[in-house]
Amino acid sequence: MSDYNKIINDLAPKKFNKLGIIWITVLSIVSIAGIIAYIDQIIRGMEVTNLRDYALWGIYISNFVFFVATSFVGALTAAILRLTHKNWRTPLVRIAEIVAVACIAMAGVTIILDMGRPDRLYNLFLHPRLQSPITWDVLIIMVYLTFSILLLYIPSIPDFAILKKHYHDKPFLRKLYGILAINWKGTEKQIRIHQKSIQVLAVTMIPLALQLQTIDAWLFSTTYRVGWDSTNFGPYFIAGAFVAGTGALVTTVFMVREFYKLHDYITEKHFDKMGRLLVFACLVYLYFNINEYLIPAFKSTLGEVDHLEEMFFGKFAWMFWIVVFGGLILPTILLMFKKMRKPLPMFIIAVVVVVTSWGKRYVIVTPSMLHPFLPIQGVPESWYHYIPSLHEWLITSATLTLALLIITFLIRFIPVIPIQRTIDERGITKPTNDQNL
Amino acid sequence: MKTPQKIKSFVYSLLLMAIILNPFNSNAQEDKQSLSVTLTYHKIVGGESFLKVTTSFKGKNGWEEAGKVPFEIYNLEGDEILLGKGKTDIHGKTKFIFPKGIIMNENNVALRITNHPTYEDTEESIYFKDVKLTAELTLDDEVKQIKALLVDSQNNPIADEGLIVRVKRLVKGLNVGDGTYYTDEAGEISVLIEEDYNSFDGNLIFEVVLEEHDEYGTVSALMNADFGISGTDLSSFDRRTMWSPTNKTPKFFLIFPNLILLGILIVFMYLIINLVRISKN
Repeated sequence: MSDYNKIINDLAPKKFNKLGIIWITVLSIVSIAGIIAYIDQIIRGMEVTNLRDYALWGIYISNFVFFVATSFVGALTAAILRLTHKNWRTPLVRIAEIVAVACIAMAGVTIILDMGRPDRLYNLFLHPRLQSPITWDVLIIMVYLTFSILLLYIPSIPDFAILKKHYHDKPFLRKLYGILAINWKGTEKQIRIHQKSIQVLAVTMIPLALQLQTIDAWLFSTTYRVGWDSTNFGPYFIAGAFVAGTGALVTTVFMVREFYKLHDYITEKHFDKMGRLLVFACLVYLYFNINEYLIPAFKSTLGEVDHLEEMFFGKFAWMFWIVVFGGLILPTILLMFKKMRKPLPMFIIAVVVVVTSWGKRYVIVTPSMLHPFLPIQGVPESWYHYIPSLHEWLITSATLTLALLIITFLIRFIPVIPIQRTIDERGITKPTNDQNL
Repeated sequence: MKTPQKIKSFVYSLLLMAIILNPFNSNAQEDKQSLSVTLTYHKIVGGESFLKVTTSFKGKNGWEEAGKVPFEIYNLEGDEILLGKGKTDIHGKTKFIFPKGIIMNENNVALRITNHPTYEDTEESIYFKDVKLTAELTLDDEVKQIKALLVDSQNNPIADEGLIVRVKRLVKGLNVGDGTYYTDEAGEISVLIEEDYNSFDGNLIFEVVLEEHDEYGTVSALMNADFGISGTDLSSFDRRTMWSPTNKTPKFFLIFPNLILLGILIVFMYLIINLVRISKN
């Protein structure tokens, strides 16, 4: 088999093996449990959650912010690395785009879950208020989702054309890839239009991603509350998204590499580069964290003192310190050692970073909610605290598993590593009389 | 189960229900809650005279409001006359306005609550005398002054009684000077208005009040003045601000986000056109 055909065989999407089917089954079970819980939430109302007058943003919004942050990976690797012509990015770009699409799609879904009645979404379009960051958020999520799909699709067009030929004996796949390939022949003009489109798309994605994270941050900082009243929140969220996105990318890349045996394409060098990127992201985020907590602690206004004390020493302390040490300081220290930037240690560190990134969003959202400027009075004791209900846990778990299912199914049909680009970069030419094609 | 047993069970059930829901319960009145009624007399000179009525009962959480309690008001002076009926609001409060010409020099009025399903029959009476309070606002050479005279129904001056002089406000009045001034032997007070008072439209209402007197109740005389200092309307409800409603969005906010959206739309259209060009090439 020629090198050309070997690359296509290696990188063409494959059927799920036994492990893949188990993986999908488990994800489906959790997703179905969450969907049932959500139906019950619609029938019985938000009383099934533990969201009340004070903690009205809880696990759903934390989860939403996490998804938005993780979707930053698309812009990070696909757009920034593309524009800076970093060739080592090639095997990572498509995976990053897939993660971005799945996460931003689930971010949109999570907002609807938090609304209680899904039909309320309609009001955002019927009665939009341009001054409200919620309106901007709805708009930017839709725009970012659209552009993320385009960023996943447009660079894949030459690969779809290759796969159409590759699966010439499988009618369904041939038809599917034929539609997706939109008559791609690889002519000079097509390549020129294609390259220009990708360039425009990559340039557009960067401000879009920055807008997405900033608007997400402004949802909080335009609300006058302790812990959120900061002009720093935009860059703080961007830095946080940088960490969460890179963590999610490393995790997904490792799993794809192991499942599809792509060791020849995703090498240790890639993990080393991603490790360095993660250290940089963690350091930047650490800097913003210091700003976010040190300055309010220095000023020590009454509300901030209560909030910070609860965060540093109170009931949220365990989570806060795990997030700071486990999710930022420890990964930074560990990843400074070359041995730790090998695939498996990197995977373990990235999983911890992703989990603590989720926890970080919870720590941003919930404690501020429980510290309003006017004291909490005349409400049941349970309203003073917030612990998500079983419904909330099930629904949130389902959003996470649905995101993983989207990633899984996209990986099933889209080549995770750009085939044409890999061929081009390796300087391999197409055999003239190849029977496989 | 055999039929006689069924009948027996049915009869027993009926008996049990009859015991529980005994409609002829002789202790029904005893089970009712006692009610506390508070009456205070108020008179606005040149305006209405009324009783403030408050009903409450001793519940699990201490004194609780007894809402929607109907009552009758009787004049007990001479022949007992029904003056009118009323009902407290959901907070157990109401105002019973006396019909014109009813208030005599001396008054003995009773409030009665009878045949209420929840509360015991209750009667509460109040005794009060009529009093004349006249107040006048004078403006001589920029000197503003309030003079008030307090006399009883026989026009005898009432000396050494504290009268409160204040500017009426929405929630709580603003005292003029010391606030309380005692009548002299002629039953008079004289108060200089030395401060400036703010007002939305420049209009002020001054009031002289004999407050919660044991015999006369609360009597107040009102005076209008137009020398208040008009305030500036700081409300921004009519302006285009970040907090205004949708139809008052600031113009820059209508322009820039829509320009960004337009820019995005142009890029999107460009990409779609490029896809079409690729497919047709």
